[in-house]
Amino acid sequence: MSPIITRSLFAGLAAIALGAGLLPPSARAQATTSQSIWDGVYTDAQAARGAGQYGQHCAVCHGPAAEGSFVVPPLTGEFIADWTGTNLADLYDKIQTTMPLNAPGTLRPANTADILAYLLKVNNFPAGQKELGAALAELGAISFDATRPKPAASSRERAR
Amino acid sequence: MTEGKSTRLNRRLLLKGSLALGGLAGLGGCATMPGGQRLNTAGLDYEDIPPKLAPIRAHPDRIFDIRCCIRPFRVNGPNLDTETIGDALIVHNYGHGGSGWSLSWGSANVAVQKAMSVSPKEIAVVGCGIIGLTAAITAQRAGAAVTIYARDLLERTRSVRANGSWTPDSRVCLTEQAGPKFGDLWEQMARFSYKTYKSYLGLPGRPIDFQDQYRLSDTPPRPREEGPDPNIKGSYATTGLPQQNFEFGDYSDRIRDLTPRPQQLPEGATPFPVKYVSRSEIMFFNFGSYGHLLLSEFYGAGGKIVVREFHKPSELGGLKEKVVINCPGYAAKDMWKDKYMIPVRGQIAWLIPQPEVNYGLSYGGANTLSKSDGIMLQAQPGPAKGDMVGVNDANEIPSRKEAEDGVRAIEALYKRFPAQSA
Repeated sequence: MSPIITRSLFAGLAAIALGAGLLPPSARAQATTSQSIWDGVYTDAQAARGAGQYGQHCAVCHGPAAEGSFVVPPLTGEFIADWTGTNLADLYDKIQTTMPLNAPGTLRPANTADILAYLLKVNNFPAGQKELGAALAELGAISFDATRPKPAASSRERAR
Repeated sequence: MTEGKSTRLNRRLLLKGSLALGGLAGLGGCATMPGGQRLNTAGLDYEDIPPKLAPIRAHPDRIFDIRCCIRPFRVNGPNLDTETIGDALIVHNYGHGGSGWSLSWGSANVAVQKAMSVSPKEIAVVGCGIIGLTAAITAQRAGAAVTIYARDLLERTRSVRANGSWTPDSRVCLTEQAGPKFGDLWEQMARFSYKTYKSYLGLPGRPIDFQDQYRLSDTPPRPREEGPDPNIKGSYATTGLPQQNFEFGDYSDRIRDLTPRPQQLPEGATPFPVKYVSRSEIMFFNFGSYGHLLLSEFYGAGGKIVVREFHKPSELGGLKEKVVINCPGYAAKDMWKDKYMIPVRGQIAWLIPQPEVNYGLSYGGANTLSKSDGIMLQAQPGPAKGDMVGVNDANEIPSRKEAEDGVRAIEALYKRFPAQSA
């Protein structure tokens, strides 16, 4: 018997199946992702800057440790399940255009990228040698995967 | 607020020793009060004499929850349009402003009729606030197998951070932008909802209930605004934001037959220490019992819930169900880039439940209702009044000060009752 409440995995799968022609730019980029958030796509220094930005703009609702609250979603744990199957352009776009809730669109692009780096750090995705940029094309090429993808697998196979 | 001249009258109505006599129910209300004092019920028919009224223990330290949320106000009224994404029919059902609880069943009926027009066996509902949940149950009643896709279940949605009373035209649209045909649709939804609520009355846990509401004032109540304020020049059309209450849709006259008229009570007919008192009755929703009942009903009819967050509209086209009723509430503003959505902030303070309190109040800018899951207290936080309160404010961070100010306004009212030791 199937459970009454389940969690949907790989939200991006449906978008992939739709065909690239119907998709918005960020989703099209997903079909050609060449990197994963497991590949060290930000630096520790950038995450440290992002922590400052997070504390200034995000912590008041999402909590000092990104733990969320009864009414505000956490940015750890379930957050990974919610975003798995997307790419960093999708997440960047969400933050840039909808956050902070009471002043959306006010974050500078570089600060949003730093916050993104901080969120990767908080969720234990590895840091690397290169900073994360704010260009959508670059971000769209980085897939958001809950687990480290197998080296030989394409993103489509990973989604299965 | 200090005790002043206005309390003189009510000193005669004091319930001296009422705690000892009757406990919390001792605020009186019968013609003869404890201690032999009499209420002035002259001119009232016997059946209209106010019943005993227990005091609300309105103190800031009894606030046990503060809930703040954005109402999904949409200037054109709720979006019930359809569109196609991939091979899926999307039926929108969002943007009900401060009328979501009230209109939910009627709005669900409109959306489900559109959804059923392609005869689907399966329907997906996106969102599990009160709009999503009622749409899902309505679709089940129409014979579809329903899956709800949502990040949060009802108890963590914005819906339960609302006031939760029958307010079917509260910030439901702007009259001009909604157009002349909206009134008919609104009335259809309001009447359909009201009928549906009748079937939930009198059930265990009182999921839906009625209560007397006393409107109190030290000064003569101002007559209802009948026209625009000539001192306000701008409007939504010129500024992109509503500028005054007159712009908001007011359709209440269409359903006057559903609710009793407010009744002016003679001065001194109630124990409240104010000069002007009117009494009306209001239907309201007890979130806890009603929410559990709806979820049980949904599960009982074979419904399934999938926890999922959507990031862009195209994802709805990829669901296995090819008919989707879209109930995202305020989230539609970003995800569907709906330019007609304007945030309206609202905050409720909750005081510990007092089952012995069986009435609501309106006084000094604060409103209360005594619900099974707490005393609901909504304050008026700033100079704005009526529908303009909270307009274009997307700050969802609860304000303790606002909550305490509201509680103190009610506390001050009860402090004007005489001391028990007098």
